[in-house]
Amino acid sequence: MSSIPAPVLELRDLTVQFASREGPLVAVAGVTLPVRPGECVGIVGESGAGKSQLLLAPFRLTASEAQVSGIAQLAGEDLLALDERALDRVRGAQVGFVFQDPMSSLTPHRTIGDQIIEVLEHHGRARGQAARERALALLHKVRIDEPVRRLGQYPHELSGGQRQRVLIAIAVACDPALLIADEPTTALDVTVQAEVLTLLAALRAERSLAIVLVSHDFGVVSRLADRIVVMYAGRVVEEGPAPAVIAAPRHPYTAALLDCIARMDDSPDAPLPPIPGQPPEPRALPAGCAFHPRCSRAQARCRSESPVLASDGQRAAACHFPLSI
Amino acid sequence: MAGSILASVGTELPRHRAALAAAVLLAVLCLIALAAPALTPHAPGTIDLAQAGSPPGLGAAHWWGTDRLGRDVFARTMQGLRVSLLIGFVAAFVSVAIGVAWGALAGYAGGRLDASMMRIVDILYALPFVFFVIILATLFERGDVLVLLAAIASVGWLTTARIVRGQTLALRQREFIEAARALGMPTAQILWRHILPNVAGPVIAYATLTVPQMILYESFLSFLGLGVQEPLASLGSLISEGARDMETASWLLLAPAGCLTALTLSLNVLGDGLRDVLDPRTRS
Repeated sequence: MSSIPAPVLELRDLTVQFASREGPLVAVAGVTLPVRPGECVGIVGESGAGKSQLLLAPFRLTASEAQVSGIAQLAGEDLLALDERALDRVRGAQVGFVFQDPMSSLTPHRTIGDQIIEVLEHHGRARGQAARERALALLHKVRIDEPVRRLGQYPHELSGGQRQRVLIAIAVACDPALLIADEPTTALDVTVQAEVLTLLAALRAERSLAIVLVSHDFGVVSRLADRIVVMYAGRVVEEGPAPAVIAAPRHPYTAALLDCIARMDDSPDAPLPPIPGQPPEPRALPAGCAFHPRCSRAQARCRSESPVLASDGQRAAACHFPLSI
Repeated sequence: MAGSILASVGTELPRHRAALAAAVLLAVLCLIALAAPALTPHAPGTIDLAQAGSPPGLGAAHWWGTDRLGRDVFARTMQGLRVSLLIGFVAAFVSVAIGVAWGALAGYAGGRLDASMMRIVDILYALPFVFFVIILATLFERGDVLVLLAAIASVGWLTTARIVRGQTLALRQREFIEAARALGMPTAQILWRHILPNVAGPVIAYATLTVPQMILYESFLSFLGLGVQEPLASLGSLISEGARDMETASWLLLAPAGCLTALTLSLNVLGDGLRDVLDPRTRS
């Protein structure tokens, strides 16, 4: 019997809170998420569901000071116990990040080559001429055209898709075991989106890179993810293998999200059904299931009793009345 | 970082005609000022009463004439130019160095540190400059070039600090700073390699404009008699002296005033050109 490999990233019962004048704001409430080597996990949910906070907070990358509790381990190392300096050695080396906006994620006054080399030198991977060659190889790897010329160019001379390729090159420059991509394609054209996703899939296959893909777009996630985690109001409401979740969602929220996607076989005139209402305010979560005010299947029990994430080993859903079982 | 800035100035500046002309004029002025002792047989301090007040002339022993004490105006003006250049560049360098460090730290740290650092700047701004210099000049030896430098630089850095702080504050919110943090860059490196290169353009341009400002401060102080003292001369003290005799011996005023005008003009045009050259987005 082959043993399951130890997870690269292990988040257990992770809670992220922000202090504010009106009291603590809970962005993530007790989420457990193991990411295994080479695996691609897609995290889906609306804006404000806590997807980004879940992955940025353990690395102390949130905009304001967050209180993180629970367990967060990267390759067995306790992230929450690390000081800022130790964390600097982790970020960029053992874990790479790709963010939403490629237009503004590169320093405007320095060349592309300079910025790739900086990361390599900072983490002691290569210096001088060797670093330059590595940078060039990385640009080749992310399939940018004319890589030699790009090294000497400034960010504003590149298109959005090219810049996102550069940022991916920087993120994987130090051969991390994990790549966290937070809405990596949201700011890009649809055709460029597809190219970037293809690139991520290729990098993953090539170096058994684990990828956590955070997106509000099921279409993007379904192209890359093995496993899908659906979040709502700071909690996981459903998770399971990507094809199974997409084919037969169990949580009404997942089903509603999937219904929002236009399909080729839909009639072009048929309106897409939106999810009624708004995501709840984190400080004023409804009693019982947080989704019940927007759920078409809600019953009395949903209004009083909070559902737990019930797992059958393969799939899990937090719903009193799950679909398709 | 410094290398890439110099390289871009080297390749881009020649395309900017006015700035190139200004740079050449500045270089010529500096060269003449430095080479002056070899160009004229007269020392700036030598008094020759027999030759006192002789007008300038091409064939004359003194090209730019002499002053009331018979000292050579060319030698005196060039010495004044040297002193003014020294004070201008050193004061500008010191004030930019302090201003950049102060402003970048305040802007990046934010919060209380930022507030208290900028209040200090506000208070210093509120102090009357001349009053401040008079106090320094009475506390220390009058006309000491070092005291003069300290006085000028102590006021000059305030504007740079405000500019850099404002720019840093805006830059700190940008995604590339977050991206740099996500790559494991420590604060010092983020400041040095991600904030400073982005403020370098405006700062270098402003620094170039600071040099003539410092020279004018010094001239102003020397004009009031608080600046460099005899027998040493600066452009300001020479203009002050020349202004007294401007109806009978106009060359005593015209020589230093012309040098000062040429110097400030060239620095201003150069600063303007550098601002264009140092922004990669304005390059073709």
